[in-house]
Amino acid sequence: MDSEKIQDIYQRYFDTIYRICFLYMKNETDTLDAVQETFLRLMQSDFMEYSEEKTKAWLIVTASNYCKKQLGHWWRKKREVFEETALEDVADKTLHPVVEAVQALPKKYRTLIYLYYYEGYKTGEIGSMLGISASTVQTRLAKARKLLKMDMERIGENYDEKRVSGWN
Amino acid sequence: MTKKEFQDGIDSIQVDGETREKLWSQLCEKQLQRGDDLGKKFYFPANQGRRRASLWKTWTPVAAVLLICVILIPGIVYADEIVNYFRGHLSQDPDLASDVNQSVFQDGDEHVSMEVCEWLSDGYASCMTVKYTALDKMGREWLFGETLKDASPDYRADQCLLTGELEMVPIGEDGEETLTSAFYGTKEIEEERTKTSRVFFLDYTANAVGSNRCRLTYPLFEKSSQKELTAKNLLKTYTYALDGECSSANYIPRYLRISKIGYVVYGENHGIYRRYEFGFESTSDEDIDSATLYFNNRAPLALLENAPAYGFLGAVTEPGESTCNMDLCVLYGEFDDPAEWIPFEDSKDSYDGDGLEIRIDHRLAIDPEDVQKLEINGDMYTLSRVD
Repeated sequence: MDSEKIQDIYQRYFDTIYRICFLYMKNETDTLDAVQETFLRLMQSDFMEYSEEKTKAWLIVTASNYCKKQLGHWWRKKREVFEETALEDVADKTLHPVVEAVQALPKKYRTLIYLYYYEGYKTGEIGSMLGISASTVQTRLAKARKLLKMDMERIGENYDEKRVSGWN
Repeated sequence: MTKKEFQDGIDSIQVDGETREKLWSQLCEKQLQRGDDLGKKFYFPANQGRRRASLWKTWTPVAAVLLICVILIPGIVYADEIVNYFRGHLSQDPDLASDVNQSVFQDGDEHVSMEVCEWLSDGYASCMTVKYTALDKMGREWLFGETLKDASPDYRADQCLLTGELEMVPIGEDGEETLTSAFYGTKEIEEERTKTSRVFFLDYTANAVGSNRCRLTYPLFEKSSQKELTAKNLLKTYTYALDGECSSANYIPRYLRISKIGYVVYGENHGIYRRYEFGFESTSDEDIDSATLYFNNRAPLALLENAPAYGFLGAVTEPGESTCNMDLCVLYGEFDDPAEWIPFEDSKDSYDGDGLEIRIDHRLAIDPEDVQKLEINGDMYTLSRVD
């Protein structure tokens, strides 16, 4: 893959990928590892010919899957460490309560709610990205909202229309 | 919480520009190490020579040391430590003890020696003890220094992967990892620590592999090495066909593969996973909420009740001999002794909401020929032996 293009992709999507990974990993060290692995996989892939939107989707899915897999690995014996590491990071940097709330969600809701309410993807787009139906996305969003106690369904509709205009 | 508050919160997730640039540099370096010249183009046009010089500087004395080790180390004997380190981590079942591979492998250099003291495996679930002994002052400083600093009970195996430190991974006959899902860890058996030695417990549970081989990555004073090991003793696994009605339309559990220390339930994927462009993704919210294994001659074992079983319709598998030719792993895990469960201090703060509230270190041994039936999500399956 062309080096300048990769660097460009890195600069453009770093924040998005970093945020997604952080919502899973909960601490900066592991988040940076996940971000690095995601872009490393991009370097070794054949996505040169893909559109900007598709490349972004690829990065989001790859990052989410990588994080979920890593969290699976830590499930058994790493729990305590994970929290200690997280606490160390938190000691330096207090987390925004919203971030804490999203991180407390079950894994399957985190990317989804981020993509919908922050990145502005439609439910159908999220569905095709994550390989689930639009109705499943809606169901999960409703659950996530309930868990987060979010009061934004009403304004969510307007927001969607503005934010994702131009998306195909 | 409003949408604006949500966005503000997400906006707070940031890293500084310096970290971002540093990560990019590391990325290019990693890519370079993986054999692609992309990183070289970006950042390391002049570093190649230095890297080679550094490698020579490292490997020449190592080669000399290895030569000495080849001569000296076969004489080292740890006979009085056999099975010792599994004490407290493994059932005292005498039959199980006889399945433990002992004094599996030794290596070292002029400063430290290491030995794989014990290794128990059924090809899917595997555990191992590794002892390091310092041979001189430099060895002691190394052994208690940075390299194995994090190898405490809280040690994270993923750091092994990233730094090339102590790690054990089961592999197939072809030397490749054939798993699609696994849980693993390395921790120190702290009570075995002396002024000159440390002992580590390596643990691995996968949903597919099935061979008697593993790849061990281990550090020594000046280098990190890898060795493919073959177990002389492999715990026998038994396969049972499951007969019963599954209440889910998305999957059907078909086979139980079980040994004294672990189990895997394979099944047919009828839509619980769907293949999409970038891999597989679960298509429904279905989980395995309960699973109980019933025996003829002992109390039932609740596999998911605060136990380290991995019942989340965990993985699409590659149909093959090691997966009973099924394309879905319904659940897998190992048997752990509830009597040895240690509650976490802050049990309310369950990580990721998965209900994990205990720390489990002690493997239980069951009789795989004594199983009678298996309950999964309220559906009961009778078991009939296939092999």
